[in-house]
Amino acid sequence: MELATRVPLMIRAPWLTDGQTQHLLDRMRGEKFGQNVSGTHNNASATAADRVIRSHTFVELVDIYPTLVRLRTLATHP
Amino acid sequence: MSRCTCVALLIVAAAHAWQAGEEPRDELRDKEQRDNTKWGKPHLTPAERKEAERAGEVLAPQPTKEVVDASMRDFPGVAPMAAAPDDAKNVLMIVVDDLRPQLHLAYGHSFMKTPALDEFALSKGTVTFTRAYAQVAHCAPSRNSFMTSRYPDSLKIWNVNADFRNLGTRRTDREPNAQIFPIPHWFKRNGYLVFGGGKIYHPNHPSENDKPFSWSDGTKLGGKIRYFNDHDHDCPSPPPGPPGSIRAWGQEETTTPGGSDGDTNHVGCGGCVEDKPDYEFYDGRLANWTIRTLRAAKQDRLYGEKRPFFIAAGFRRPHTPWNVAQRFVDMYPAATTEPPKHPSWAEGAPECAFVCGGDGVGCDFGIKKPRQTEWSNLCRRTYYACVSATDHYIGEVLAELGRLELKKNTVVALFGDHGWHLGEGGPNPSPGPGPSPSPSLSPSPSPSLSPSPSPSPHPSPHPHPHPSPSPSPSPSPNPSPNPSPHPNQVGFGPSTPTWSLPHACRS
Repeated sequence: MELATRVPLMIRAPWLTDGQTQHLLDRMRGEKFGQNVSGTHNNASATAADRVIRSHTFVELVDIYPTLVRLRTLATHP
Repeated sequence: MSRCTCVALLIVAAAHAWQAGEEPRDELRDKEQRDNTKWGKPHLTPAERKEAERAGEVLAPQPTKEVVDASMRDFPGVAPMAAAPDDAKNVLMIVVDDLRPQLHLAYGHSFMKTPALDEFALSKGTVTFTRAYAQVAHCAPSRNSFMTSRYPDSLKIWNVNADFRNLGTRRTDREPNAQIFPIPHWFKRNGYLVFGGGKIYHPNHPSENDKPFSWSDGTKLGGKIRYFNDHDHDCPSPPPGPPGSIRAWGQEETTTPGGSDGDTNHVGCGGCVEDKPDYEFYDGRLANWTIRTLRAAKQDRLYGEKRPFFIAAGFRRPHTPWNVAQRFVDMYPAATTEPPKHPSWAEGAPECAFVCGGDGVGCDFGIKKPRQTEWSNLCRRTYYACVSATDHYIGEVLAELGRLELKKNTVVALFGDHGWHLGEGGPNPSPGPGPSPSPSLSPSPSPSLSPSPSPSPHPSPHPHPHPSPSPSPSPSPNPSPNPSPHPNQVGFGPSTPTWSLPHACRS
């Protein structure tokens, strides 16, 4: 299962602040997953790997469609 | 009337039109609007259809089946066509075929050389999802699923011969279903310029890669932009070698000419490594196409185009055949390709649980013959090289996005279509309460709500000049995220495996 179905997934929305990114992650599943995110782009003292913002939320590829749709409207409907 | 007078009159007429605020004629846009109007009315009443036929109109294919799917609940169904909002963002969607979550910084595999994706992961606004899963581990069903946001159970698509326009059938003599809106189709209906190239859908499933539903015709100034649908380069015949040896491209000398599974595309674990320029590789050409399309979209915006763009690019590697440039193979010394931690197939697993498939390379890891470490290492090395090659081409596209100053207004989504085995059979069923995560791909020992994994004691934002051996995380001390595994889950089964043979095994 892990080997056959787990995939890389990275999404960039450069205009989002870290707070908005968190908001987006929360909205993705309609629940609060705040403690499930690690890393910050702004922490200069962290190692490169630690500066990668990772979400450990369980997501599926069927989530990409609604995420892209919401991302493009997030600026107008935060 | 002299030629000078004619030119002067044309200039005066153009000036009047400009002063009156008239927009210049845009044939491409007009045609697309006509198309959208046509495709936007999938449900013509019989009277409307008869009237349209009488008027000699070319009718859009009519839907043959309604689909009601709970996974589309977030969408308002068949919304009317609309213009994109003024502040709508561009979208660049990158799909990579058969890419495992095995990247350097993003997924903590320090021996991988993925500088472009490392930079992408570190760039502002990027989120890396460590637990993303495909709906099914097969190209076409997975792509049908994520492109429509519908589960395979809903679409009834489980093979490469069907698509959502035909809803699980192999028939091509019926009209396509126009009631389903895949991602590009939806953006197109909402006022986007939409272009695609490479393997987005499974090639030509839907027919012509869903033209004309999904894709726009072109840009105002750039002219017609065709879907990039080049033939993927098949490897030529490998050079001969001594009997019984692994030939230059890893093909077994003693097997059938096409490879160990008889597939003509199969050249084995060594792939076909060639020294030739990037633009002669499929993904190199796709990167060039994507860059040209980005430039065309940017050029239009400079001349007043208001519509945002949605561009999708589907890279073929690391899917087999592993046709890759030598310089990427050279990045991975043979010593770094250590064998998989669990090379044996799970004890008791039925033989039919493993399907060679058409790619061939998988057969080299099959349960029908002993695993050969030499082949296994060769496979891993060539796969890693293909990942680095794709990383390079994607890097070219992302760099162009920055050069064109489109980066800040463009959503970039990058993902693989499903996972891939590289010789890991998974641990044998062990006495324990539940399964353990994959030994080589799990991002952290405990995939629970833990902080970010530290993949390497001294990670570097740049590729390591002398890659270290593959990390081998310790087995999970904690229960896995799935507390109640399916009893037939191969390789991760319960303490007492009860293999109930699927139907295909009984025949």
